[in-house]
Amino acid sequence: QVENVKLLDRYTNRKAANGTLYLTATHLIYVDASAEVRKETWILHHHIAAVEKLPLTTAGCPLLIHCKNFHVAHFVIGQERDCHEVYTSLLKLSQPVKPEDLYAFSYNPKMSKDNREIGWKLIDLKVDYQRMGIPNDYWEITDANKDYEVCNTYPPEIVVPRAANKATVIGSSRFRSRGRIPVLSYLYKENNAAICRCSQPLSGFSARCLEDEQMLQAIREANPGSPFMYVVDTRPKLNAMANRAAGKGYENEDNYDNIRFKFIGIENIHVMRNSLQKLLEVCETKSPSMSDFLTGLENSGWLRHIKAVMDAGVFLAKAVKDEKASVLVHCSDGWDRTAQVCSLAGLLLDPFYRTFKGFMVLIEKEWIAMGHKFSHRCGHLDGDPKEVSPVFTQFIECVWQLMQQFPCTFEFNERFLLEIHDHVYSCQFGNFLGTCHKEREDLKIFEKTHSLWPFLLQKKQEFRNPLYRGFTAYKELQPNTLPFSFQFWCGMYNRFDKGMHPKQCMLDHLLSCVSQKMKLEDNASELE
Amino acid sequence: QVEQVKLLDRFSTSNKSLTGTLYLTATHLLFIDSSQRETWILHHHIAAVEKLPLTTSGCPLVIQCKNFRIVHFVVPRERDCHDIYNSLLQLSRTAQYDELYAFSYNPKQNASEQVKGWQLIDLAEEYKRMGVPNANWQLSDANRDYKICETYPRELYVPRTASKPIIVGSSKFRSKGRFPVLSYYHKEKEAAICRCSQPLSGFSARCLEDEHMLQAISKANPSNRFMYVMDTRPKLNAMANRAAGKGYENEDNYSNIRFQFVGIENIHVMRSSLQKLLEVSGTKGLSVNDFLSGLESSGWLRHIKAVLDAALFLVKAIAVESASVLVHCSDGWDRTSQVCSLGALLLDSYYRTIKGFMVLIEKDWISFGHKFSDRCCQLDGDPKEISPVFTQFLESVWNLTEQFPQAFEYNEAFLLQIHEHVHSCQFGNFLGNCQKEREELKFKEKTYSLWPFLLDEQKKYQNPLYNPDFSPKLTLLEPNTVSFNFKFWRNMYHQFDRSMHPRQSVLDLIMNMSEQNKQLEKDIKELEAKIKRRNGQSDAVLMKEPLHSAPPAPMALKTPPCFKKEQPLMPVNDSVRTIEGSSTPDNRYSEFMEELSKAEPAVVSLEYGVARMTC
Repeated sequence: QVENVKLLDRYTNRKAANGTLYLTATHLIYVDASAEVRKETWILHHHIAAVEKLPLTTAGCPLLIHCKNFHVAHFVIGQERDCHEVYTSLLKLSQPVKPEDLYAFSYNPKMSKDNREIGWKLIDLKVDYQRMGIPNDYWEITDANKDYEVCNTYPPEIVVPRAANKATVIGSSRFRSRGRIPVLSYLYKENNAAICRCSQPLSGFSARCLEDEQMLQAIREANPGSPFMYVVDTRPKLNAMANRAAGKGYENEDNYDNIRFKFIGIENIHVMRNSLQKLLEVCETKSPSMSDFLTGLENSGWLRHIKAVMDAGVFLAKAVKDEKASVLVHCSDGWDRTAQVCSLAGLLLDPFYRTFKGFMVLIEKEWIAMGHKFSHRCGHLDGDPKEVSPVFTQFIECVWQLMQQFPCTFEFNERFLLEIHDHVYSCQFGNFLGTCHKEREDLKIFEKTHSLWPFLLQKKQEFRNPLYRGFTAYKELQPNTLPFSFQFWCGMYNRFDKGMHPKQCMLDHLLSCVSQKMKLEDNASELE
Repeated sequence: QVEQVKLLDRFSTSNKSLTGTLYLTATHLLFIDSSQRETWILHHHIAAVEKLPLTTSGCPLVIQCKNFRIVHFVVPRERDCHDIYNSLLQLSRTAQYDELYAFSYNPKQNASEQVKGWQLIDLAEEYKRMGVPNANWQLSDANRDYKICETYPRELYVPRTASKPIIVGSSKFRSKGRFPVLSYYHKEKEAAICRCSQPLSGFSARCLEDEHMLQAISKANPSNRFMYVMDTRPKLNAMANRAAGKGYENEDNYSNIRFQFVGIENIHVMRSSLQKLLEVSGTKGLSVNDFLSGLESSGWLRHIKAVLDAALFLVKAIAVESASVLVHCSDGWDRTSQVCSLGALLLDSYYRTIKGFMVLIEKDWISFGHKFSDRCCQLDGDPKEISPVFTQFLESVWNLTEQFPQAFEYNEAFLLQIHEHVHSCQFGNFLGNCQKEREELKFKEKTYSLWPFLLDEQKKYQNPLYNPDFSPKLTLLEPNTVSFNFKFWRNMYHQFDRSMHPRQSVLDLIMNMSEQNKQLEKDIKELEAKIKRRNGQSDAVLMKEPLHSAPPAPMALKTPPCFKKEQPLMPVNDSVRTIEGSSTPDNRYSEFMEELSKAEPAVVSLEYGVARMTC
């Protein structure tokens, strides 16, 4: 506990707040003493991305805390010794080494064991496959990966074409980076076109694999409506070619029957990490001039990357819907760009994924089950900083950009996205811990921690989109991807800078409007 | 009439086009496509016509409009194309006022309606609303015959202590005779916004009457001894003007003034900035980076920010310091109009209503002689006089509506419609450069006023989120002018590119919702009344029953339309504590506090034993 700490506002030069800093096992809490209202700022240790001690000033020792949810807190602590202690404690607390130290294992929401289990069962991927009509004549759910024999980063149950027998699956897995064979991600029921995902083939300069070729053939033939299928490599062509030297690479169109191969050119995790870094630097400049802001935004390239991801999603959706062709998507390992693109395409094609439940299913399916390495990408544990990358953040931003274009098609609002984004980093719930299903089982996540989804559903009222027109109002979405359509997301990157936002919140207003309406309707019916 | 003309879409990558027929009428260019959809383009809206090199499919003709519509026709025969081109060139450039559309436009109104329409906006009434004339300010008849200043209106408000010789003297010391007059009076603070043109000070000239004039203005404000003089130009420009015998006020010569430059660029910079912006937004197949760097190098948003910043400065001087402000630029009809009108808009909620906004435009733009005719190129004239000054004003207002979605009675469509008619020359309001010119040309008898037409369509322009209730309490709007808050106004610059807009319009939906709420409320009131009546007839014992079943209703009625119970702008101290920061799904603060208070004053040792701090 340190008293007489000042919290500076990032943008205004107003008088700094004066208060007390508390350090608990899980949170850093700042209580503002100067205001009439008790104002608290809570910072979860897991949210802390970096702590920085700035040079001593006359007012005291400044301490700058950067959070993963883009909160930046600037404290000034009276005594240097205190500051140093806070600094070292935070450094230790914010980077746990063992997974058992994560908040999720100590978090106790006073919930019975049964409820916890029900919570984990809330999202069942089998039900989603059923919804798509699987199993059917062409596709089956297999337990080929029961003991993680085929691929240890895939879930035990995967969907493959009926025509692909076990030997094909095993053979194909040997020819794919980390054994991530082509599996079904989404089946568009209306024309049997499917979106499948995998990792890059180990083709090098000339290697080929008969089973893998059979596998692709099986996928293509599972869609009788189209004589060909697309194979989409989401990497820039140069990167894919460079991978050939390492014995990896991309599919050779001559070896596979009737495939159409296409590069899309989304940059890799390192480029994305740097881009976000640059974007945040722009956000952090104190009152940048208009030119600085626009140049900074341009230089960061962030919106360009968002557009690339969106374009890829749109390409997939169009191939499936308009050309009735199945698509196989991969990048390098098939867990970053592939997850982004597949989940976006699902969102564009299927109104179910635009509901609360559906969005949870989508994240569980494309991200969690298929092994997006949340733990590494979000830096949950002290690890390689080069593995950190805002891949999931980009997906969330793409969804937000879609919301701007289609304000009536999503059941949830911006706050829902922000809440999910918060919890991906908070480690408060088990869903996003670890890197794949196997690891989560090893960590006993399902017994020891809670699932996030029931908690979000409880707060449904707050996350509703008042303009939602219902499930059946819109089917496939065709977003516009001209540069004009992409906006800087102030609500995300400057969320905690209160002064930055429109002074009046339309969302609150509309929400209250809707609840008012419901109340009135109740009253009316009661009176009648 | 030319058949088989193709209309190309500006942005779609597929080269799909509509085929149809092009008609040329006296006032409009009309294109009807095969599915009978009509595209009307007013000749006055045409800013430029361009013939592109012949292609295999025909002769392309690109028409750029002042309302930022761009149409791309392909005419099969070159001769036809050339004919259209020539006629459009002629038709779009008018040499005389009486050839303008307004003089032929006939909305089937009778003469008395026409007169009434012109009387709809009464500026004398408006000054009365502000509380003028009063003990300190009076109506001056000095300019009754436009003898002192030709570009000012006849009726001007000046401080009571400014006598006629002072006015005359001051006007001789001001460029174009535009001496300081009242633009807006803030009743509560007794502070005034005044406007004028630059002084003819050169390097050292001074004028006693002008000094008296400024003193009179500052004395007319009993609550503050000093006044601000805002020169909205960049300092460099103002200094350069000194060489031409103009310039700015010398702080030493005027007692108790605080002089301030604001740095809004001149009309030429603005014109080329818009030009660049349009080039960027018109590029086909633009990348995100090109768009952002183009937006930046156009400088357009920077200029919008500068205008709003200036208005904010003005407003703060009045609301916070209760000081009067005198605003000028060079001639006091471009930047001065922008800043004065935006300032008033921020200060006074009346201007945020539909009627009030009309009054504001009539007052600060039309009557004070913003040169609409020159700036919008209504007549064939000097292209260097054209500048999007009024467009910038509308864009600034739009930016405010984005920040304060509940503060304005009107919506974006209203702003766009006004912008449309500033250029359309369909109504008399914006024709000409000043009141004198309008009177000489007898606009009021020969043309119609725009405002009654807008009021008739009021429903279309209403903002469903408007909440008139917080305005009186919190009159002042304090917008945030950090760069992040300025957005490219897509609906203005791409108004006619259908494919560019969000696919779903929220406005209608919200409108319906609020309508439904009102309807429901009405229903409930009726039902309640019915129940009461029925209860009155039945006996007292029975009466209790239905009343019990209906308690939520009166409660709901006490918090009537949701528009009214919105919280005010600033967070109010009604909640005990506010929490921000990381996720705190359950309020375990008290637990922590207990834990911490127990440990005091000794060392706080924590679970992991890492954090040890002395109190």
